Amino acid sequence: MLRNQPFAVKLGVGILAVVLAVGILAPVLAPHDPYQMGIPYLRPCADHLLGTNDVGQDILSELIYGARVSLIIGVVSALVVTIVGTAVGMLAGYLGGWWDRVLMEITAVAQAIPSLPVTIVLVAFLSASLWNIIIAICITAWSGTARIIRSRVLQLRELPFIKIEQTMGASRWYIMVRHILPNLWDIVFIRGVLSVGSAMLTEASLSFLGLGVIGQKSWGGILHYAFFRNGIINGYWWWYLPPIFCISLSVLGFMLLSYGGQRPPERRN
Amino acid sequence: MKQLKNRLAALLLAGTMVLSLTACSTADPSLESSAPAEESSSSQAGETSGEAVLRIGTTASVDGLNAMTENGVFGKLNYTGLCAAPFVTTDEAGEVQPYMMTSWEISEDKNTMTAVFATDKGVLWHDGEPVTMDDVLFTFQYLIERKSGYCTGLTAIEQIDDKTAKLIFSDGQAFSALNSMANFVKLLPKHVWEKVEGDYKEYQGEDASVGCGPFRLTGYDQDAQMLTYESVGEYFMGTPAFDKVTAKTYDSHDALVMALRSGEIDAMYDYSNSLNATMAPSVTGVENLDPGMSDNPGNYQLVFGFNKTPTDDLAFRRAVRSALDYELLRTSIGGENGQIPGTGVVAPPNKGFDGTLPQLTQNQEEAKAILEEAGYKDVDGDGYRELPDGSPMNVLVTPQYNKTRQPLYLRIAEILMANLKEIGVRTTLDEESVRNSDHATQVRKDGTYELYIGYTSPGVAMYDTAFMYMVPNDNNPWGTCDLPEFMAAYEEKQQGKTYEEYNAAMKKLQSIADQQVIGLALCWDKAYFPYRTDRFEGWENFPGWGVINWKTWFNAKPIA
Repeated sequence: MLRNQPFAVKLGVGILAVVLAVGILAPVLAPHDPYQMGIPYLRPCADHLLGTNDVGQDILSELIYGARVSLIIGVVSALVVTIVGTAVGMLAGYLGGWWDRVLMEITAVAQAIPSLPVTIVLVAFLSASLWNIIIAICITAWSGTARIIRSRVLQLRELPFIKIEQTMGASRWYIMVRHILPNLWDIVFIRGVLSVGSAMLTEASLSFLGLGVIGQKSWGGILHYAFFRNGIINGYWWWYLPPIFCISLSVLGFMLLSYGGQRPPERRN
Repeated sequence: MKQLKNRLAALLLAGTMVLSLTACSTADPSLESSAPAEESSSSQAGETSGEAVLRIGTTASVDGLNAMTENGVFGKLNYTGLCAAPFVTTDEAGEVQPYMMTSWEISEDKNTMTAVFATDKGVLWHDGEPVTMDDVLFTFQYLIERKSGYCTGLTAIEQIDDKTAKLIFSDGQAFSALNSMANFVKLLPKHVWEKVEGDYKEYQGEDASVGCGPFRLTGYDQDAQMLTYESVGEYFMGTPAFDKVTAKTYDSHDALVMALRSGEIDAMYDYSNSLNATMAPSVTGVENLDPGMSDNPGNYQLVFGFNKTPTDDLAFRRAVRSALDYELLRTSIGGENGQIPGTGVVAPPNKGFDGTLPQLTQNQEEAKAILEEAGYKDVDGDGYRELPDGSPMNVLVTPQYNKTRQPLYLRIAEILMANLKEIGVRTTLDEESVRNSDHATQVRKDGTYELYIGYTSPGVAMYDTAFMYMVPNDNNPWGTCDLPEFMAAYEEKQQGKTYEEYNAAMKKLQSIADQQVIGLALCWDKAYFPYRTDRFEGWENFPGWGVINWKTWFNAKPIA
C-alpha cells in the first residue's frame, strides 16, 4: 500500500513511525528517569547527551517521555475533531433545511471565536488535566472540518447515483453512511491528519504558557522551563532547541502524511 | 514531485543553517564582544552635548507621577531620594542615616524624638519655593492622620524652632519608627498639597511630582516609557554627579539585560526585584559590565502551617527539615553562588543575624527515624506513612501565587515533594492556589496551608524580616505560628529601642526558629543588580538594592 504512495508520504510515515516508537518505547529508550533530580544545568556530556535542566533532570529523557503526551493529545484531539466535524458537515450538507441553517450558524460562531485564547480560558477554567486540555482543544477546532465536509456533501448529493438511491427509496441515514461517507474519505483523512499536528502545536503553546498539566513531561513544558528559567538568555541551546525540533518534525510528519489523502493526478493520453 | 523535493531540501537547508548558527554561537556570554555598547554609548545625545547622563533601566511600569504614592517607577525611584527627599535613609549596612532629618535624639523612654531638619540649608522645592518647617509639620501631621504604617506609634509633632521639632510616640516606638520610615517617608510640599481636595493619591496636577531631592522631574515620554530628571545644581548633600538621569521601563529582565549588555543603559534599578540568580551567567564575565552581585537580605522559604496536622507537630517539622536536599535547592534557586542556609532562617545581611547557628543538612535516615519515633508509620504497607492515630496522611504543598515566580515555585515544590516521598510522606500540590489568586489569598488569610512556599523580598527583609510571614497578627495575615515564646520575641524585635535590643530579639527569634522549626530558608541567594563600568565610576552596591541608591547621586563620577 505504501509502495504506491509518493515520496513525501513515505517520509511522513517514516518520521511518525520513529516518533511513535519513541513514545511507546520511552521507558526502554530513556537513559534516565525523567523525574530523577541530579546536578542542575549540566552541559551535554556522555551521561547526559542533552545536559540537565534547572533541577538536574536529564533533558533527553524528558524529551523522550514528552513524545507520549504530545502524541496522545494530538491523536485523541484529532479523532474527536474529525468525527465531530465530519458528522456536523454531513448532516448539514445532506439534510439541508433547518438542519443546515442551525448547524452552520453554530459552526460560524465556533469559527468566529479565536481558538487559542478560548482554549487558554477553558484550560484555566477547567483546571489542567490531560482530558481537559483535549476538551479545550476540541471545542472550536472541529468547525473548519465541518465546513469543508458540508461543501463536498452538497456536491455529492446532486450526483446521479445519489439521486437514483433516493428514487429507489433508500433512507437518508443509509445513503449518508453507505454512499456519502465513503466518498469523503480523502477529505476526512487529510483534515484528520492535519488536526493532529494542529492539536500538538496547541498543546505545546499551552504548556509553554504554563497552562499544561503540572509535573507532566511534554515538549511544550520543557520549553516553558527553558524560557522562564533563563535557559534562552543564558544560551543553553541544548535545553530549548530539541523540543522545538521535535515539535516541528512531528508536525512536518503529519503534514507529509496528509499528501496520502490526495487523489493521484489523472493520466493524460 | 520534483517541486516537493525542492521544498523539502530548502526546508532542511534552512533548518541546518539555524541549528549551525545557534550551535556556533557561544553559550558563554563572557566571550561576547561589547563593541555595540561602545557605539551605543558614544552616540548618546547627552554625551555629545557634554552632559553626564545616567541611564537607568527598570521593569517597573510608569504608574503615575504623584509624590504622594509609591506607585510605579516614579514612586520606587523616590525611595532613593532622587526627586523626593526622605527624612532618613539607610546605608549599605542597613543602618539609618540622616537626609532631610539631619540629626535626632531619642529620649530615654523612647517616647520622644527631638529632630533637626535641613530647613536652614537653602533647599528649594522644584517649583522654586523654599523648604520650611511648615512642610515638615504638614508631612508628619498627614502621616499621623492616616495612621501610616511607616510611623507606628507617632501621635503628635511639636515645633521647637525653625529647624527643630519634637515627635511624640506611644509605647516607646521612636526607634522602631525611625527605622521603618527610612527611605520610604519623604518630605512633602505643603503649598502644593494643602490646596488639593479629596484623595491626595488621585491628584494628577503638574505639581504632583514636586519634590526637594537633587533631581527634578522634567519629562515623561509615554511612547518610550521613559522619565527624565535634571540636576538641581548645588544641593546641601553635595553636588549631584549627573546632569541628567533617565529611567526607561523594559518589559522583562531579559530585555533589560540585553539593553545593559548593548550599552543602551548604565544600570538596573528594580526595587526589591533583583535579577533571578539563574540569570547570573548572562551578566557575568561580560566586558564593561559588573553583575552587581551582593548578599540578598531576602530569601525563599518554607513556612509550616501551625493550624493543621501534621505540620503543627514539632517531630514532623524536624523530619521535614532533615529530609530536604539543600544542595539541589541551593543550585536550583541561587545558581552557583547560592548558599545553603542556616537553621535560623534570616539571611546574613539582616541586622542581628546569628552566624553561630548550624547549616541545614540533609539526612533522610534521621528524618525517617524521627517519624518512626513520633508514630508516623506505614500501617497499610502502601509505601506512605499514616498519622500517629492511623488515619491517612496527605500533606498539602502550597506555592505562593505569583505569575513571575511561578516556574521557580513549582520547581521548589517538585523538589520538596520528591524529598518527602523518599521518606514516605505523601504530598499533594495545591494546584488551585497556583492558578487562582483569589483562592491563594483566601488560603493565606485563613491560615489553612500546611507547607507554604514563599519569598521574603529584600524590601520586606529591610523593614521587617522573613519572620513576618510566620507570626500571626492583625496587620499581617500570613503567619500561623502562635508559639508564645516566638510571638513574644517578635514583639520584642518590633519594640526594640536600640540596635542592641533589636539584635538581641533577632537572635532570640533565630534560636526559636532553630529549635521549634517554625520555617526553613531554602537558599540564601545573591541579588544581582548589574551596572556598566565604562562610563561612570564610584558606584556603591547596596546589598539587595543595587547601585541606584542615594549615595550614587553624589559619589559617582564620569570616567574621564
